[in-house]
Amino acid sequence: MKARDSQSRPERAPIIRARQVSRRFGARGAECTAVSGVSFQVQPGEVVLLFGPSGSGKSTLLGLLGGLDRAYTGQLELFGQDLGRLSDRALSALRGERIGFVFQSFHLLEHLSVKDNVLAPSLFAGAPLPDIDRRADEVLERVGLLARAADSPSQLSGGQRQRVAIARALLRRPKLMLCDEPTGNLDRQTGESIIDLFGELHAELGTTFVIVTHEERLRRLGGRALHLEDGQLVREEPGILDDQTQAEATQGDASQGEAASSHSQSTERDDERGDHEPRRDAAQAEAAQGEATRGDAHGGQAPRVARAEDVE
Amino acid sequence: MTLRALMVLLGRDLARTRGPLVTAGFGIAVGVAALVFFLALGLGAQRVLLGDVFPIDQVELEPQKTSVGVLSLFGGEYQAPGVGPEALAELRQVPGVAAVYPKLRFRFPSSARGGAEIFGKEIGTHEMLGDGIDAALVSDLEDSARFVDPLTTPGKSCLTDADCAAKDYCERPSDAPSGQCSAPVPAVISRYLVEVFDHAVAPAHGLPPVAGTLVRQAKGVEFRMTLGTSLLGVAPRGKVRTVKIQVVGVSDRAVDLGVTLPIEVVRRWNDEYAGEEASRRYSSVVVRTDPPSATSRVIERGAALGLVPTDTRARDVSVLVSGVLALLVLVSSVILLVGALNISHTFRMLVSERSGEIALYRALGASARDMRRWLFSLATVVGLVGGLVGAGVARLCALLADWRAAVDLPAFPFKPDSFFDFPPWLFLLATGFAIAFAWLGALGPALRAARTDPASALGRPV
Ligand SMILES: Nc1ncnc2c1ncn2[C@@H]1O[C@H](COP(=O)(O)OP(=O)(O)OP(=O)(O)O)[C@@H](O)[C@H]1O
Ligand SMILES: [Mg+2]
Repeated sequence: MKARDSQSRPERAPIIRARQVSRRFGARGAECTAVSGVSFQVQPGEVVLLFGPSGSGKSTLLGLLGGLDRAYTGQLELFGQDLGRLSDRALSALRGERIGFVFQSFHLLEHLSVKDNVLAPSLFAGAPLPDIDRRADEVLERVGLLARAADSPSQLSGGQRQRVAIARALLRRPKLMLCDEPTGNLDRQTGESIIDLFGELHAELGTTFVIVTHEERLRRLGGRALHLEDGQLVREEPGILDDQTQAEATQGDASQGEAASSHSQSTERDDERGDHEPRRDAAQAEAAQGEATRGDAHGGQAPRVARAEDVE
Repeated sequence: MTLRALMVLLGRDLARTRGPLVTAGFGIAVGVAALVFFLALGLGAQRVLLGDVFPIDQVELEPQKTSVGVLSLFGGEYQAPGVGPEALAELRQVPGVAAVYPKLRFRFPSSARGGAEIFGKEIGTHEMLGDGIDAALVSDLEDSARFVDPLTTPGKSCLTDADCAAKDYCERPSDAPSGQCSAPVPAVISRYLVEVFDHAVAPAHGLPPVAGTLVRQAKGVEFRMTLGTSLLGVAPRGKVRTVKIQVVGVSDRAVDLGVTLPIEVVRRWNDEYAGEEASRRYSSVVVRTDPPSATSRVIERGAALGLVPTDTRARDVSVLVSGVLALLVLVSSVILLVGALNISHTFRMLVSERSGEIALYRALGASARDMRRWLFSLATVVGLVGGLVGAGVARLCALLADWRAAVDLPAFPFKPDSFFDFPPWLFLLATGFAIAFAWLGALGPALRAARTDPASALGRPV
């Protein structure tokens, strides 16, 4: 019902809009097409998972989405701005202010303390924020590492490092988080805690996530999944938690839900301007959060993929 | 990127990469030290050589000697060559000419005796040479006011010296019925004369040297000059008579060997012994220029008037000093270039070591320009510190060299207190050079850093 109501309102602009985006590498003759004619959109507040075999172009695509790589063909808009037309400075500012990156291998600077690592984006991006120091403490607190603020990253475990990297990505309250195999270098349990953290952040802040992964368990974050093969978008699966859309689309048969429209999520959020408002119904959010907290505490042994049936 | 952020980055670099950066800065410091040392030496040399030994903001022109010599072979009566009033007027018109001072050489034989006050006995010369110059030319005298024609204010009438005060004499031209009492005619002598006296004359005659502090006392030296006769003969006209001369100082403008008197006095005496014609034609003319570079124009104009510089040493020395200086600056520049290569190498290493870090910064919001700025700022710090250290080292080396020179080198004419000049702009120039060369070295790596593919941050670890 909610979704239908919002149909009448002007649709909120997608955060990412890709049309026939391709990326080739190598000299002519020995070309290699890493991304080939990819078109899709990501709406504010969505979680999108990028799946695909090794070498299928996931990282390449993520680099394009983050404006790190501009040697593409086709059209790519970020926050409504054509990436091809932005100057390097404008694009860099956009990256610094609105995008948070999380990398597979963390990318922490060993010569800096944990806190200075978290503060690193403040060196470059836009206008200096007055309360940036407190903000750094906040995000460190949020990832549970405030006590280690003065330590060197080398003294931390893999999961802790990834959490520092996430804190760094969160420093400037990005609208979009781009994560390249954030759990790829972590053992299973540690990976779980990171997934839980993403779930919490998504629930709390409504941040948009695009996550490259091999791991099916990330699907419990509820986003839709895009499958890449040889640089092409071959399949799109609806988000498992997109209950309302699914309910609407399949008329109650949520477990079989196929035609989930990612748009409905964002239209649903059109009237929810506050970043902290829960974006799913209360029961679901509670379940997710409860789980997330448990996962944080116990390393995540319970099967935590929230199924549509759970909600029903 | 804010300045504060830049400072933070630079501070971290200096803490993290101190060794290589110090090495890079060292190369620059050596180059700058060489550059500053040589330039200061060159400036010092130019000051001593061109300022004291061969002043070059002025040029003295005289009639071409060869042509005169040939003419005099055929001429019946010897016509003294000279610079006429028309030539003076023309030279005054040359742009950049500040002043034109004619010189009048003695056109009469003379001899001199005196000096008992400082030598304890009278000394003298049978052949006294000299000239007369404008008082403005001896402005380098401590007390140039004393260098004036004593008869500017007429003295009381006299027939012999006995009619005048003890220190004065009776200036009575050969055919005049009477004269006027005159104070001794002021004279300046050359430093060269003092040197010759001390090194050649004094030892031969068992006399004390007059150089150094004695130069000052020489101002009091009085002697009597006999006009109209010398060892070589007697003047064709005029009577032999004696006047009093008092040395009032040592001047660079004084004739090398002989005495230099106020030009009015020499004009009177030339009239008396060689005729008015002789006294109207000057023996040479000193042209003072501002800027000094105008001397070349003066020399050109003089050539058209049949006048040549009396002394080409100044030009030769100037060219020599500039040439040697240019060579040394070239050597220093090569050292600086090596320093720049050194910086280039260090920065290249730094950038490739940190390509992951740079890509990360790019992903975190650093623009290509931020990265360029970062590395150029780092180069600026290295260049600035290298430049300051280099300039400081050069200054120290100069002090050391001057000290060794003061201790080890024997006194010689024009021996200066310092062989170096360190004007403030030299330090500015040095640091400017240091930074410029540091930038030169950092240019490639900085551009490379700016080009670092931010997407590469995704793939590999920092
Ligand atoms: N800088 C590059 N130069 C040349 N080819 C590249 C470059 N980056 C990626 N490729 C090629 O593009 C294709 C896709 O690479 P990409 O890194 O995007 O794959 P991926 O899906 O992220 O793989 P993985 O799961 O192993 O990380 C590969 O064939 C790769 O060789
Ligand atoms: Mg990849």
